[in-house]
Amino acid sequence: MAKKYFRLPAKVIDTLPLQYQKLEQMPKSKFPKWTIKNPVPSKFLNTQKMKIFPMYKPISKII
Amino acid sequence: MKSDLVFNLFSNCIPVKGSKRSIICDLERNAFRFIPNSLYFILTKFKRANIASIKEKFNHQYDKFIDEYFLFLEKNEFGHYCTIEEAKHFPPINMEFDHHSIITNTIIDINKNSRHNYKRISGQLGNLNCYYWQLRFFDVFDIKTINDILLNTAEEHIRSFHLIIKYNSADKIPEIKKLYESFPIARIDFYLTPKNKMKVLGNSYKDYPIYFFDINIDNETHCGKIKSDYFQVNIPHFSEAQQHNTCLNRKISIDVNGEIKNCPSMNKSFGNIKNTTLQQALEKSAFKDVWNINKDKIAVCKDCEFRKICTDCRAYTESPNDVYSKPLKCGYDPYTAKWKKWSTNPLKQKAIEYYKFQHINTQ
Repeated sequence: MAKKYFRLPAKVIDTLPLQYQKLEQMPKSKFPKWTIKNPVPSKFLNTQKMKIFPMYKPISKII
Repeated sequence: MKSDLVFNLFSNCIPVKGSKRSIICDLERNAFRFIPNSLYFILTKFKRANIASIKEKFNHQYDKFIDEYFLFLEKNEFGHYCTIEEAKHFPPINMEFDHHSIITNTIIDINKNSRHNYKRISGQLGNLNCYYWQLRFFDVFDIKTINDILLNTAEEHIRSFHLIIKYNSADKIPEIKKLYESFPIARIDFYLTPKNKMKVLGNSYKDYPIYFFDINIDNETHCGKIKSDYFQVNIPHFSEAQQHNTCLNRKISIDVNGEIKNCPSMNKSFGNIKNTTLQQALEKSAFKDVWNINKDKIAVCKDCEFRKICTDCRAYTESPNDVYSKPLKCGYDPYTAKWKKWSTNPLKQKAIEYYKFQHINTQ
């Protein structure tokens, strides 16, 4: 009965942020253990693995 | 049977009324559909009424149309049928917009004469929590130089770069791919690409968000285009559009000369990055004036059904001295619901002359 109240986004997989898709594909050993004492290494942030989605709005409209 | 039930729109499917037609913005599925204004009226005026009573309100004159409307809504999964009592359990989404970053996005324009201290700029933007950067290169820069610039700017706080680069035939495909892989780059756009190379290049980068355009965009005057490609149907954009300007809110820019502005295309400077910090520019009261010019305050836009999903431009307006006039580079007329080329509109010619746009790309 309650099922009718809910729905999923049209393309669940496609709407997953790229970062999650990439992390899923990464071998488990590569997952860094992020803690306060051991923060996210900057090198890791600057790699494709941490690609974050573009902003929710276009930054400029020059194209 | 359904006549006794209420059709409850999902909270993230929000109708927006325009002058001639309306749309339903599906903020979850990032899409919108056109609906007639009569359906908008039914959805907003008879929100908690069952179908039978809606038909009755119209003296059963439009039963056929009303059935068609609700079939459309059901088919597109914009909502569900329920009792009046059940419908009370579906509150609307809170449309208040806030962000923990003082500045969310930045544009930095670069040409061969620019002498930006990228490390210093990056530090200052880091203090403001600015995640999203757009770097626009208005002259030919080789990939190594761009790589060096990114090395100086790339800090932990940056979530994505959007690079706009002039096409350079000397750039090698592996170098560009390596650049993309080395930094949190969300997208690269190459402009002034030779037409005969666009297809081949497009195929070479098909797994990368790297795009090629033949248009020339070698200075900031090419910005401000309003077209449906830029529509964003999502909760952050939609909620920001309720109270704020969808282009300039929480944006800070540095033009090719180092002038700190709301947008590089705007005239007003809040100091030069050489002797003013971004924080100091931000503290000037006038800096935030444009942040709250939402579409409901802008002439013509306020009657447009796209006003909550569209972006805006305050740099180039139909009446250059009126900050509340319609964006010059918008060709949509909400009163006729038709798109036309903005550059040939006779009513815009004075503004086109004022901005000296007669010879720029008017796509």
